Amino acid sequence: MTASTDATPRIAIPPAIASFVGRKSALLGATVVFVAFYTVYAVIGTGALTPFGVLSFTNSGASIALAAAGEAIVIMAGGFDLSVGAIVALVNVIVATRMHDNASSMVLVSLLAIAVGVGAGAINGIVVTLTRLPSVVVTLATSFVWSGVALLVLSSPGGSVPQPFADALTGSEFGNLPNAVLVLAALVGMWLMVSRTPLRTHILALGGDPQSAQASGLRTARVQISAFALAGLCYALAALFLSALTVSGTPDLGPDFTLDAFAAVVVGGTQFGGGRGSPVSGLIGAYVLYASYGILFASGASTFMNYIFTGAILVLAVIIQNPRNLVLGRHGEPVSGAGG
Amino acid sequence: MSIFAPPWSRQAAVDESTDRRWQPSRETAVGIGVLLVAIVIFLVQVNVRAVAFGGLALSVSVYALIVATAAFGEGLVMLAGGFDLSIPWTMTMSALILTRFADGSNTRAMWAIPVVLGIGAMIGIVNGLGVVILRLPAIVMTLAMNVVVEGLVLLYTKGSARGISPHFLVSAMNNNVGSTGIPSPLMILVVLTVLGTLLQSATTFGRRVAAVGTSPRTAFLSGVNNARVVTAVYGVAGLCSALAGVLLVGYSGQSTLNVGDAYLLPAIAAVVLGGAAVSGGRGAFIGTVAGAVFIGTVDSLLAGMSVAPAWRTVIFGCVILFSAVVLQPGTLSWARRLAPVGRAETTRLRSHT
Repeated sequence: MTASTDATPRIAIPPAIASFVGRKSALLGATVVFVAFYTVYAVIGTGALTPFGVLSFTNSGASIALAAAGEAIVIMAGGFDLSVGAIVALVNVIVATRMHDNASSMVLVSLLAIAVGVGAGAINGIVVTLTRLPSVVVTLATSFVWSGVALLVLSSPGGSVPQPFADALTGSEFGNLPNAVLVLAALVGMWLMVSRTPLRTHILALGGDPQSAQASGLRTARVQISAFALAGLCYALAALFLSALTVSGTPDLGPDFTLDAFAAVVVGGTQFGGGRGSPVSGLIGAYVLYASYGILFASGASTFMNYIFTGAILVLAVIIQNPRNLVLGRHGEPVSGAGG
Repeated sequence: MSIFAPPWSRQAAVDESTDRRWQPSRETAVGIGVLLVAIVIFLVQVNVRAVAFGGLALSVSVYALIVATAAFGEGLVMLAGGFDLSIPWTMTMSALILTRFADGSNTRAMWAIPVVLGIGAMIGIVNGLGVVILRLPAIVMTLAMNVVVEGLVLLYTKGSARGISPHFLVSAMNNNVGSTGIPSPLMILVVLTVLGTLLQSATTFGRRVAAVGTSPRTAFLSGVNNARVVTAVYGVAGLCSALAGVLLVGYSGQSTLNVGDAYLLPAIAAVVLGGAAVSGGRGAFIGTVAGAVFIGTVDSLLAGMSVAPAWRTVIFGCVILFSAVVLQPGTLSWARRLAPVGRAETTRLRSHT
């Protein structure tokens, strides 16, 4: 800080805070946008500030938020996962067809759900690692496999989820605090624990520059598979929450869910290309998205407007994060078909 | 160019183009191989399972024609190093609007078809401008475009599919040419293959596209207007998606919502099966057509064996993944193994950062 050497007195910002703001600027920016959007939603909508309003808002965005956290991890590792919706649908139908109304079944099926999510994610990662194909192509193909398996488990929307399980995730045990907040906090806690291990750094190194990462002795295959498996864990949590919210199974969840998760990551401030970002951006981005859906709904717009809005906000978020990229791109390189 | 460059990549391309004698490129060879496998699967079905030759030929060629039409645009975009995810709703848009405007009339179709093709081309050009001017990653731009078109079409149609296809399209897509026994979609596919191959491999435009996909900087320094080429490529892709939608309603006689969703993966798969490099710069349309015919025969085989739709989806995904692994230049080979994980990613995504 140059405040001490400067002749004119100015308010000194403690270096710790300045550094925190600098490192987390994308997340803080997204949070500010969320607060602004939610304020607008509260003003033009009704009941957004009542305990029930907060509860239903938190619940409606939670499964996209959890899935977006997973997608963010894959993007940080330099990949791209189009199979989010399919994996969430697969885990969702398993829960809706296998879970019975007793404690042991709920625990066992939840564990099974998490195992399926992690397994599906890990298979994505293994295929990407073995084939060296772009992860867009691999996950597009595996998304067909997962949604096919989902249709085998449950051929049309239906099934049921026990009410106690639904209440446990979507209720509010502690006063007005929605349980969903605890689930999201648990995910953040889990990520903080991962951040204490070298895995986070390894994922960012792989995403930043795979060749350098390999050259410095990083076991890139292992890191790649771990990133996809961690993402799968997030998808499984998203699916558990979705099951609790809808109390049924939807085998053809598919592309719309993937798009929302994807938009949430971008809106939350994790940029493409890998080497940067945080799963927390997915959480915040999802709620920015849902606050804006709330505004659209409260202003009486057709639900079809949500589609147009999601597309527009996706494009705008990428532009705002990289204003220097306009026309010339960051490095002034001539454009290729891939853009950027 | 890294030291990991495999022999079939850019240097090989240069050698090939300086050699005046014609020799089939790797992609053409892959295409012919895939086509032969497809024909074997087809003949096995006809002879072993005693399926009527004519009916099977018609259903396979209709599917292959629709996929190959969309895949021509996708293949051109991938040749330029990009990716187009806006196929589903561009197709659905063209299908919904065509049946709504034409509603069975051939005369109204005379202006309705150009209108939907024009809208498709506009969608593509906007994609291209987003990539060129806003410098958005192609995946983001086309994914966003897909959902925006979805919203606009649903707003316009109020979420309902209406009308029927013009009659001449229905008869063109469901009959044989005269009394020859050759399905007319097969004839259209042959014409499309010739035109597509000429545009992609024998025109300056096609070569510029491949140049931009191989190395944007080298192409630019050699005098290619990258921005114009990329915009045109996406425009052609949008036009192709809309044309695929027109052919689709010709076959089915009507339109339904989400009708295009089923065609994104087959279109990309056809390009990859045809031996094109996913990272751009290499590809031949004949390979893409072979990929589309292959997908069509596998699909008819699974349908004919009365495999449940869910299993068909699973098998379809696996077949495509397996074929992509076998046919992609250099996957699983030793030279490629020396390269670190994520190399294919970086060529595509690094430029976005």
